[in-house]
Amino acid sequence: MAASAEEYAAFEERVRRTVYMDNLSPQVTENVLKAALDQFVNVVNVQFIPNYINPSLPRAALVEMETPNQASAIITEMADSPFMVLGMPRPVRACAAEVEMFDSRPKKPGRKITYKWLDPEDPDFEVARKMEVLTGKHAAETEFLLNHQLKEEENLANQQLETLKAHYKKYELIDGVLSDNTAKKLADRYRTRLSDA
Amino acid sequence: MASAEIENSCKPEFSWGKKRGVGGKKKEVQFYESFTYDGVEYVLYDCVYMQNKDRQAEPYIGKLVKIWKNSDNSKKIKVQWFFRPSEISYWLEKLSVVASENELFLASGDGKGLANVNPLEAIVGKCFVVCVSRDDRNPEPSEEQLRNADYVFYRSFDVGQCSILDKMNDKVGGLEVRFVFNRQENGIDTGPILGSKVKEKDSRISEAYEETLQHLGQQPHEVLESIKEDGNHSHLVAKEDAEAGYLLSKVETFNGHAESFLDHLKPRVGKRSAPLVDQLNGEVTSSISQKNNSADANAATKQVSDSVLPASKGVAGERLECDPPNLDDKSSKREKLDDPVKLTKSKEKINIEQLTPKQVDLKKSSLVSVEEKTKLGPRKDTVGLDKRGKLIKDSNVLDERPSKKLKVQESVKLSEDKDKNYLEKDNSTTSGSKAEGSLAAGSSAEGTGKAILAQSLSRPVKDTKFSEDSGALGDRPSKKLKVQESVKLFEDKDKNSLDRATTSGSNAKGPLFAGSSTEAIGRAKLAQNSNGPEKDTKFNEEPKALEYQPLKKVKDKESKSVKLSEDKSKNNLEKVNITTSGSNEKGFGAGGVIEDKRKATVAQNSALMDDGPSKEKPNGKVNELNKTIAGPDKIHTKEEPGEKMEKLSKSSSKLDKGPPTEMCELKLSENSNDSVGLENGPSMVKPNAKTNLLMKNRSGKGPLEEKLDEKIRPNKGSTKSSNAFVDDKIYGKIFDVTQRPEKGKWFKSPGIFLERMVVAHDEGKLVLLQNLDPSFTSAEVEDIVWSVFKETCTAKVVQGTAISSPFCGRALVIFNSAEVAERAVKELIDGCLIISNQRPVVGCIANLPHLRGKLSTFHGHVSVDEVDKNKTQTRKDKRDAKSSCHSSQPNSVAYDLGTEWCLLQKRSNFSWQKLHKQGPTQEKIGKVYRLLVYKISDFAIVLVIVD
Repeated sequence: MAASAEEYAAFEERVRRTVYMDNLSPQVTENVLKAALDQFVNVVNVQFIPNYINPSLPRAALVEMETPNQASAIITEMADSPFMVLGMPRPVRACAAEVEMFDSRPKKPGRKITYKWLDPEDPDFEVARKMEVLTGKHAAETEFLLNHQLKEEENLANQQLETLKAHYKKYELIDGVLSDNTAKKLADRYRTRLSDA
Repeated sequence: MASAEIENSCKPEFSWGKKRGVGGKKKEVQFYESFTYDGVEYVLYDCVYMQNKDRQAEPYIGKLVKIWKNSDNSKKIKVQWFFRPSEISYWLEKLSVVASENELFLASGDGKGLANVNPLEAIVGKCFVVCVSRDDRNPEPSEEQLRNADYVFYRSFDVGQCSILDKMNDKVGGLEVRFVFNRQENGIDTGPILGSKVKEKDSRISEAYEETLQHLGQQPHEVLESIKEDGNHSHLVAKEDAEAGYLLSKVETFNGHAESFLDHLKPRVGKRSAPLVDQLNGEVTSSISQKNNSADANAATKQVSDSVLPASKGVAGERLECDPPNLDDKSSKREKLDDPVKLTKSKEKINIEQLTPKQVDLKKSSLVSVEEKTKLGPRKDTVGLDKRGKLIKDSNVLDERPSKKLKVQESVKLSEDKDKNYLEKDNSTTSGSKAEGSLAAGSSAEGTGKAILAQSLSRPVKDTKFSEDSGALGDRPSKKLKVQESVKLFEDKDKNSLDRATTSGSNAKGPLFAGSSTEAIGRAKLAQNSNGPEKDTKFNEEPKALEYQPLKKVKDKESKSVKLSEDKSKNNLEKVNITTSGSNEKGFGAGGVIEDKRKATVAQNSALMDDGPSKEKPNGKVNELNKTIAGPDKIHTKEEPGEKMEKLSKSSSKLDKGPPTEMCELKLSENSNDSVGLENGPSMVKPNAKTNLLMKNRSGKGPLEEKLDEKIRPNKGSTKSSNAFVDDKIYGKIFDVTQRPEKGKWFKSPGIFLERMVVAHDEGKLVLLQNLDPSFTSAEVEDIVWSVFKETCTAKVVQGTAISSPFCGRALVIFNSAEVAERAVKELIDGCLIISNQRPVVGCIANLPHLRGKLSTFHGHVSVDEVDKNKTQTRKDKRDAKSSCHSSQPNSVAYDLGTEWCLLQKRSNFSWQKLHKQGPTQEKIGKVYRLLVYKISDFAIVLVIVD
C-alpha cells in the first residue's frame, strides 16, 4: 500500500510539471514539439493524447518538463503571446495538465470500488435512469458544441485565408507594377521620378 | 554489452541457470537448461505462456525446447507450440474432433507452426500443462497435478497434415516423446503400472464390447441386455455404434475395489446401453446384484456415491459415466482425477444401484454408480453397473425426492445421503437390505423418499404407464424439489436401472423396461425412465411424457409454467438423471482427458458429460439466485429441450448416433423451473442453452468453480459461460470490485490498442462506457467489468482533454466477442449498475464512424504559400521545426491573425466551461429523490454557446 501511495505521489508530481497543449496540427510530432519548446525549457517527454472517439479533432499532447516551474512558465509564456508551431497563424494553447489526461496512471491508492445492481423497485432506480438519460444528453450536447466549435474554427480559417489572399494579391499587384515597367512608364507619364514616389 | 545492461536495468530480473553446452560456428552460442525470469524459474521443457500480439486475452502456449544466448547477448528460446482448440477449430470441426475447453493440442509433424524461436522476453508466465495421455510411457499425473493444471493435453496436431493424432510417436515434432510427457517425479511411477492393468482390462472389455455391440447391432434399440461378466467383473455393455468401442474401452471391469477406483475413470467413459433401464437380462441383473452387493459393502465404507453415466449412442448402447456422488467437491475432485476413494465410492454406488434396482423407488437421488461391467438392457438403463461406475444416479434420484425440500446442490453429501436413502428406501420397500450402509446417512431424505417411493410405487404399479409414475414423481419433486446441480443425474440409465430395479425387484431394471414395471421404484427416475421405456425406443417421446406428467401436476408447484411444475417433478427426476449424467460426464471429462487413449469418441463423451454438469451447475446457480435466464424459456417449451439438445450436443449426437435418447430439459428455477435435458436412451443429457455456453466449459472444474465463486472467479471455462453473467445479478447488494487476476505482467502492450480497437469496432465488440468516474484508470475499468460481468476485456479510459467533461469519464472496452459485448450492454440497459454508489454506468456498442476516417483537415494554418502555387513552398521549412515555431511579434500579420485565434479559443473555452458547469440541478435531483447525489451537471439547461 505504501508503495502504491508513493507511486501515486510521484505521479502527481509528474502531473504538476506537465503541460497540456492542444490545437496542434496533425503534422506535429514529438520532435517538432521538443524543438519548438527547447528554446524555453528542456522537454523530458512528449505524449500525444489519442482521440479515439473523434480523431478529427486537433491533436493534443502532454509535454513533460523538468520542473513544475518550467511548466508554469511555459503556460504563462504561451498565454501572453500566440505561440505557433508548424504553421501560422493558429496558436497552440497550453494549460496545466490534469490527472485524467494521463493514459498510464497508477490507481488511486486506497480507493475501493464497489458496484451494485439497482433493484428496479428501488426509488433510486428511477433517479439512476434519469442520470443515464442525462449522460446521453450531455454527450450529445458535448458533441454539438464540439461540432460548433469546429465549424467556427473553419470559418475563421477560411476568413483569414481570404484576407490573406487579398493581401497577397495586393502585394503581387504592387510588385508587378514595379517589375513590368508599368511604374516606370507611369513615372514618365507624370514626369516624376520613381525614386521620389 | 551496453544494450544488455540497459535491458537488464529496465527488465524484470533475470538470471541464467544451468548451462548446457555451446554451439554455433564459433561456439558463440551458449545453451542453457534453465533460467530465472522475474522470479520464476523456467526449466527446459516447461510450458509457458507466450505473449500474443494479436490478442491480449489469449496468450499462446508453448513448450520450451531450447534456451540459448547468442553472441550479442540476446536471449532466445525455441518453443514448440500448443494449440488451443479454438485455434484449430477449423480442423477440429472438419475432423469431428471434440476437444474440451482446457485441452490443448501439441504441435507435431513438420511444417509451419510447429515451433518458433522467440526472444526470451516474450514469455509471459508459466503455464501448467499436464499430459494426460494414457500412453504407458507417460507418468500418470497425480490428482493434485490435474487440479492445478491450467491445461491438459493428450493429442497432437500435425501441422503438416493438419490432422489430429491420438498417439505420440517416439518423436513429436522433433521433440523426444519423453519430454512431451509429464516429468517423472520419483523415478518409478505407479501410474504406468496402473495404466497397463487398465489396458489389459480394456482389452478384455473391448472384446466384450464388441460382442455386445454385435448384439446391439442386432437389437439396436431395445436392449443390450446381455451382461457380461469378466472374471469378477461384469461389464456393462453399452450399445454404441462406432462409439461403443470407445465406451467399451472405457468401461473396465472392476477387479478389486481399489482397482475399481482406477477403473472408475474408465468406467465413466464406459458405456451404457442406450435404452436405459429397460431390460435387464436375468443374468445381468444377477450379476448386477452381485456387484451391487459388493458395492454396498464398499459404500458402507465410503458412502460416497459415484456417478456412472452411461452414454449410449445407439439404441441400446449407452455410456455409463461415473458421476461423483458428491456433486460439489467430490464431483470436482472426481472430475479431475479419479480418486481411489471415488472408486470405492463407485463401488458403493454400485451397491446402491443394486439396491435401487430392487427398490429404485427409494431414492431418486440414489447413486447410480454404474460399473462398467454390467451390461444393461439397452432400453432399461443400461445402467449396467459398471463395477467402476458407481451409480450416482441413484443418489440423484434420492435427491430429487428429498429435494422436495432438500437442495441437492447444497449438500454434496446429499448424494451420498441419497444413496443411503436409496438404500434405506430399498430396504423399506423391498429388499433394501443391501443398501443398508447408506441408509443411515440420509434418513430424513428417506422419509420423503419413502413417501415418494410409495407414491411412485403405486403409480409404477400402474406399470407400464410411466407417465403416471413420472407424474407422481414429478409431484413430489415439484413440491419443493430443487434438483439443482447437486443432483447429478448420472445417467438416465441409472434411473432407469433404478426403475427397473424397482420394478423387477432386485434386478428390476430389465423388467421395468419390459413394462412390467411392477414396482414404482423408479419414482421420478422411474417415471422418467418409465417414460422413456414407455415411449420405448422412442426416447424423444419421453420428454412429452414428462410434459404430460408435469401438466398433471402443475398444480402442485407454483412453477411459473404449470407444465414446468410437473415437469419439475419429473424434471427433478430427470434432472437428477441429468445431473447424474452430468456428473458422470464430468467424471468422464476428467477421466476422459486423463485416459487420452480414448479417442474422439471419448472426448465427445467427456464433452457431453461436461455439458451435463455444467448445466447442472448453472441451474443450481439459477436456483440460488432465483435468476433463471434460460430456465423459463426452457420451461415454456418442452420442445426447447430438444432443440437445445440438438444444439448442445452435436458431439453428443455424434455419440448417440443411434437413437438419441430422450432429452428432457428441465430448468429448475429456484422453486419452480429447472430445465433438465434428459436423454433417455443414450442418456445423453445435454445442457440447455446455458449449458451450451457451458459446454465450452468442459472441464469439470469449471462448473464447480462457478458454484464456488459466486463472486468472481476466473474460471477459464466459466468465464465463457453466460450463466455466471446473468445469474449473478443480485439487486441492491453491494459488491466489491475485485482485481482481475492476470496471467502475466507483460500482457499489456500499449501500442496495439488502436489496432485492436479498430478491429473490435468492426466486429461489434467494442463498447463505450460512459458516466464513469473520470479518475478511474483503465485497469480499474477492467476490474469493474470483470467483477460485474465476469468477462475479461481490454479497457482503455478515454483520456481527458481540455474540452472533455470533468464529471463524466468514458472508457472503451473491448470484449472477447460481440456476443458478450451485446449481452453486457443489454445488462446495462435493462438494469442499473451503480458504481461506488455514485452513478449509473451507461454502456453502448461503440459506433465510431470516424475511426477509420482520414484525419480531417486542420484549420487555421494558412500561408501565402498555399495561395501561390507557383512558388513551391519549401516543405523543408515544415520539417524544420524551429523555422516555424515561434512566438509571433506584435508587428506581424501573423500576430493579428493569431490574436483572432486566441479570441476564438477564449470564446470556446467559455462555452465549455458553461457547458460543464455544475448546475444546481444535481442537488435538486438529490433532494427530490433522496440520497442519490450524482456529480453530474445537468447540462440541458446550461448549454450556452457564446456567440
